[in-house]
Amino acid sequence: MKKFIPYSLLFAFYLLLSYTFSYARVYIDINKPGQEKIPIAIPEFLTEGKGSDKIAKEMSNLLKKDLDFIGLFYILPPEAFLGPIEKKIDFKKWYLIGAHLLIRGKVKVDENTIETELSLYNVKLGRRLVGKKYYGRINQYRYIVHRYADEVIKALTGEFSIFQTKIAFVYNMSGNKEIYLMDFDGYNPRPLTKLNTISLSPTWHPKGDKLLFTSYRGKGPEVYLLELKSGRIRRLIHYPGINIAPAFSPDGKNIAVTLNKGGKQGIYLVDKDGHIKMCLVKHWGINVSPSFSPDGKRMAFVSDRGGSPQIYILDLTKKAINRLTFEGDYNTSPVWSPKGDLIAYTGLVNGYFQIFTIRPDGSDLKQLTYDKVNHESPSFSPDGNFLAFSRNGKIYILRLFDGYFFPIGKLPGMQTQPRWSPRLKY
Amino acid sequence: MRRYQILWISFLIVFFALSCARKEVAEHKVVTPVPRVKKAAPKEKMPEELRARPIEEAKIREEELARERMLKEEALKEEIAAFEEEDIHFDFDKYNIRPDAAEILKKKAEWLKEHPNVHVLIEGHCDERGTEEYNLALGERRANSTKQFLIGLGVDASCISTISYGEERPVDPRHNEEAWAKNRRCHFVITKY
Repeated sequence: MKKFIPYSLLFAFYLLLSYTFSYARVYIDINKPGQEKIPIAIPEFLTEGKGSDKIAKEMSNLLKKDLDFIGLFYILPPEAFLGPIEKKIDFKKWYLIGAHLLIRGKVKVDENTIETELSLYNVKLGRRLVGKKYYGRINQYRYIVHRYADEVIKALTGEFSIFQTKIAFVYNMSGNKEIYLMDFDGYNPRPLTKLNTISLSPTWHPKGDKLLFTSYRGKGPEVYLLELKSGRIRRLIHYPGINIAPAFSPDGKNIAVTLNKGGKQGIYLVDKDGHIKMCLVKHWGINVSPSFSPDGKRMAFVSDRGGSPQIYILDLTKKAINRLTFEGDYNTSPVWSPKGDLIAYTGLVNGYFQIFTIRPDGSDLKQLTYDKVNHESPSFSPDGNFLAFSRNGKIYILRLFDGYFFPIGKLPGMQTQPRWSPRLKY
Repeated sequence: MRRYQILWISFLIVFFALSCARKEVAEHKVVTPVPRVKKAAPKEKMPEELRARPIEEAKIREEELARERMLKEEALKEEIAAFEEEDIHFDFDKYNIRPDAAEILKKKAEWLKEHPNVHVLIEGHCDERGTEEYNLALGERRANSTKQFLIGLGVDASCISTISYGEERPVDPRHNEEAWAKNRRCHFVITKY
């Protein structure tokens, strides 16, 4: 937990030199499928000071990795370059090798601190699209690079990407399940709980400073609140019977949770102290896994009222419930995309669980995974362009625009229920 | 439930150790009951002995009662072990009581009614397939329908509590149909007797 403090301090130190030229024009539409990858040149950073070469190398490599993650770029091989980056950029030279975009970085090392600068250029126009300066400790270079990567994507698409996000997940260690946290790229996994029991279903507060989770720390499954900064854990929802699968409302003021009242499982709305405000869904069957639409007007959930687990949508203003999924006999874990345009879920196909997306009106059903292993618990990235999910006990990331997916992290053992954080401010 | 197996094994070891120890004590006392035959014998004994004898007899009676209690408790514990040993099973994604489970529950209900002081905890479990959250809900429905079935057979509702473990505590950790069938179960734990 203490790890959080330096990161937040780090950015307090940052000199945010905003000589950003903000262009209204969006260079890339990330949602447009089948577009060609944009050739980008990322030459070695300019360096100054003892040990700056090594750190500059690590930073430029990480920046390439970050931009590759997005899948929008063709990162030009260094062998194609006609020479190192100039102090005064000769754009013609970079245009000749086919670069549309060019990044120039500078790193100055002074003992334990680094002063860095990074600019993104449109080669054809010879124009800077974004330029930033960040200052921090050497061991924080990863977070500096992630921040640059985020600024590069913002300059090109108009929106920040996932470089300043984290993923909470459930880590199964020696029979116990603990809640863990790692960076979006799987780096730096660390425990958030050490309760030596079963803890499940982490879920983020929209501000990203708190998490709810379900734990057997007490008598049965109950909901706990975890504050990231302090690491403090507090039992929040503990009615008799089950208290499971909590979800914050988009304004962060209320929590939807499955409780059992008088033998009936229902989804209830409770306030931030766990007091019941109202019943949202009540039925003799199973009602679980609520997920709100971003405007808070609708809520997807799972129910077996039709004879098999299917996804339903509750319209909170009309108080009407409609079934969303009709294909397959087992559809669970709905998550509403941050833009509200999609619902992702897990469905059983020929004995294996696969990831699907569907529009909230039931149209445009898409199966995203096909391999004969289990793919479960999808979670949208805050920009809505990626899904994290678990595949046979490992966390994978799927790019929605091209369907490509890959594992992140190198932990042994079982990792499940990834939950992508909102964009975090350090 | 390896945890319970270990519990039972350690219980048996302790029990054996205890019963062996008891036997030794009892054998000592076997010598003393002899005076009992002489109970009606001469009153012209030393007053000290007279006083000593009833104390001894009371001691013997206590011993016998304790032994009886032990035996009774032993028998009850065996019954409890048998009760806890037998799980009931469910079909995939179902929480209705199957006919084979109903037979087991009838037996359990009879026994519970004969032992009104017994409290039972019903644990609802699922196989590993499906979502953790859905399985937590499903496990609760299994425990609940089992509870309702027992209440329907006349078992006092206040003696039954439930908990769902979802897919978190499989009895068979393998990933095949046989293991899944075993893991879709309600397990019974006697919490008070």
